[in-house]
Amino acid sequence: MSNYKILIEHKDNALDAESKGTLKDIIDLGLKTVKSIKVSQIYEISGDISLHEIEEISNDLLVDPITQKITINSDSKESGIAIEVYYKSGVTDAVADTVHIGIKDMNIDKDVKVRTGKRYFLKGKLSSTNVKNIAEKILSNTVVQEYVIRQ
Amino acid sequence: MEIKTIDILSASETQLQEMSKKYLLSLNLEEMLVVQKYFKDLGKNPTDVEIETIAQTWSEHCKHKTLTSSIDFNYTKIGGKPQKKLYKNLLKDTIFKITKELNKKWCISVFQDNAGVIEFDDKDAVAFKVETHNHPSAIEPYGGAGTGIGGVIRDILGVGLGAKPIMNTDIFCFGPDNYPQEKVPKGVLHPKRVFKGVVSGVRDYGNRMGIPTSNGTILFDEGYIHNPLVYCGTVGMLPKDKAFKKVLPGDIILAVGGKTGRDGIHGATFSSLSLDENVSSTVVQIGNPIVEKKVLDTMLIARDKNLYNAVTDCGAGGFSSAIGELAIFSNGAKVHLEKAPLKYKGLQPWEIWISEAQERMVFAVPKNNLEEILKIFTDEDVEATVLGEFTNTGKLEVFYDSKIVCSLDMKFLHDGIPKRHKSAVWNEKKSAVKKIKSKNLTNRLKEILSSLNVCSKEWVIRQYDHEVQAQTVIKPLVGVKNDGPSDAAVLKPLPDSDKGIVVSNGVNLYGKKDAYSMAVSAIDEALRNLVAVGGNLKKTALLDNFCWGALDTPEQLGEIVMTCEACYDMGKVFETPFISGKDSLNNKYKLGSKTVSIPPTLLISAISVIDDIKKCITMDLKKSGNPVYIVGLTKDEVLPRVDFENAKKQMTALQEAIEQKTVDSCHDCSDGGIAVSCSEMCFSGGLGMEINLKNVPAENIKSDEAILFSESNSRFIVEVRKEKEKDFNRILQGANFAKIGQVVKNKKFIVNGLRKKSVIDSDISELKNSWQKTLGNYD
Repeated sequence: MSNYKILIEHKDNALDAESKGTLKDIIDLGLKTVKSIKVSQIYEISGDISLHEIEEISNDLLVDPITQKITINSDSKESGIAIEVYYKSGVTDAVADTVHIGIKDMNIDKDVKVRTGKRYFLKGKLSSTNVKNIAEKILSNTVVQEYVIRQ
Repeated sequence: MEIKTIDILSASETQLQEMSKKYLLSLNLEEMLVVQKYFKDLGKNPTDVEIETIAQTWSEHCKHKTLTSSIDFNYTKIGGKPQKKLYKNLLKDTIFKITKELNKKWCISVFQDNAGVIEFDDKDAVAFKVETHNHPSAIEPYGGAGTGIGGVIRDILGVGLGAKPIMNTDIFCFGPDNYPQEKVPKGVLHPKRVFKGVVSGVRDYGNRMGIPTSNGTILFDEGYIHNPLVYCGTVGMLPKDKAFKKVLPGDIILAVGGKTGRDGIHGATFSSLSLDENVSSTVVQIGNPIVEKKVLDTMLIARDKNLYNAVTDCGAGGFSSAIGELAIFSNGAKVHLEKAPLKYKGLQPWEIWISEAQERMVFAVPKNNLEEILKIFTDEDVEATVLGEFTNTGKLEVFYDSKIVCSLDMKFLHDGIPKRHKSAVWNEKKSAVKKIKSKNLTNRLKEILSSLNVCSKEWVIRQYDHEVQAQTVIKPLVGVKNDGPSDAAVLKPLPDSDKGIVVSNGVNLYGKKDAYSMAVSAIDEALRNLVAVGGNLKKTALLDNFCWGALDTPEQLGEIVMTCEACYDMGKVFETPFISGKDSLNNKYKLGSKTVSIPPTLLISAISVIDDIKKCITMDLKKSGNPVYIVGLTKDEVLPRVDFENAKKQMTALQEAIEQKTVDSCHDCSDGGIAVSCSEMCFSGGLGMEINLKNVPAENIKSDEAILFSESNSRFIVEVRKEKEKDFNRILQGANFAKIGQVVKNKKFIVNGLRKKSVIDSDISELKNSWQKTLGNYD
């Protein structure tokens, strides 16, 4: 049984509309001290599956290699605040369901669990109240989602 | 698995009311007493499945209890004596009544199925339905709006034996996007977040389904901060001989599409409650358009092979409503809940039965066809599961692992609900005359063009695919640069025919002050928009969608009565039947001890079938030198009414003038009046216009400002083809109309006032800039 956390984010030279839009939303909220934000898609896959298979899945199913890059099981070394947002358990995760089907279609016949989420990597001067506000008012909807803050 | 018995037999009246609250049943005491009596007669307590089935079937959402109640109505018109009227059933005595009286042969199926159906040509019919998804969108804008559009698409899939969706329409009402963040109460999302979330939800669901979103409107007002409104509509095409369903005893109950989970439990009864800051995740539905797209594609194959007798969608109330409603045809059903495919383990039978998990349809399939239809679904990886069969036993019987968990008489379930009786009051109020004094009318015009309710919605429209399926003839954005505001959408659904479908809408904020004025204006606007592009009033049908806040007092109910009366009056004048409708009441929010309600809001959607799309026109100016006319009378009024006879005369004459190709462009006058309408025509066409206010037919108006910005109904600005001017004048004879100016080559909009020359003088590029900047760069 292994756990993998795959992060997919836009390469630095590719247009990243989602990060740009999210930054604007935060500034609209009145927090002008945020300097930059980077959004990554998280896929957590666990089960009896090898790193090699995970790499195959990441490369063939999850990433657009021209505009995006993959990180597996390693967090960014840069300093900043990361807010991760996931669906609460029991809430339908349609993207995860589709990943399941995709893995099957790749002829990888493994019983795996998939969970998806979003990671927002923020840089700038922010108090912990600011971060909580951003997490609750913009990045997540606590009715169906939960968030984790990593410093 | 656990089946609870609810001890209703020994409950006191207070306990019954508590029970209704505790289990989120949303039934009132009278209804609870009827339920109690039913089970007393049977000599047993109900199971949780039984009580939930009754609550879902009797919910406001499914039964429209308020609009169908009997009402004692007391009303007084200005200067008149108090009068009385009794409605046995408000809807039947107003909106249904006009449809019945008009008795149009081209109406195929009205107010009985999941959508209204009218004739398209000898072979085909058009279905149209508009739904609301307000409560879910307030809580989770993206998911709520996405599943709103997903739900109304399924209504179209579930009308008759299934129609193919060809177009979506979306109308939203939000709080102002620049509302101060600190004033937004706890538990409420900021209007901007709701706005962005809703738009992306509709975009992602509609685009992924491959259905164009070609028409819509957005209203902004502080009244919608706590309860945004999300109206989603879908138009579909189906063969005329597939417009009706039947269910025979012995037909198999086949559930097709998504799996069942705990999402969207109690949606039907939840929508009958006020919102507050405490909500649970289970009322939120999460959509998956890819699953629905596969259902769409496969079911149409099965339909064309005549493999099933009936189909309906799982909407509010889930299986309980879908199977319960189809069972009316055969008079009974036997359901085995343990067979339903689940998203995860641990669901109780009542949860499976009423879950509103998305993308599910229920079919009634003759036994002999089962193998063939299952193959069609499984070949495309669409999940299809036999849940039981329809019977003629008069009972709705639900089993879990061979244990009976629900057995209810069909007659009690569908006809047992006690009728509500209410009283309503309406006193007509005098509307004050607007007093605004602007020194600089050019600046005033620019201000209005930039206001949220008038400004360009291109940022929203461009996110929607309005071209997919390649049938959109007149698009939401028109003009030389494809960025002018179209009055209505025109579709050409068949490749080998020039026949078309026109879709438009009308909605406004007058409901804050006068519901009657709101309703006649909404209908007038929808019809105006339709006529402006070349719609055919002789074959136009209307849909009504009521969104209301609190309905606790006779005065509040009186507003609904007057709205229904307005629908009747306008339907009668224009001979436009209503074919489908929906109401969403209780759009209110509990803020501590205070309840905040939305302004009463009626959305009218209009659909028209036309013979020749080549005769349609757009609103952008076409040619300098062409004369500009106004049709309709301009009045100084804050709450506009409709002058029935003249309005009809104007619109039918204009329709004829457009059909005879005497008109090059036409735009209706609505928000911001003549000034905004003319400006939009100018900058969309890249041409100037000079008009003289002295020539505008007006009633009791002495100021330039009032003429320019009055929002009187039934008016159009018309660019007449110069060489056809005589014909135009002949056709319009007898209607209120006048020549007010001409299209000019220089790119300026110039207005000469009653006393002074050029009271407005502006480059059209400046006007366009004002109109575009508000939502121009929104991300």
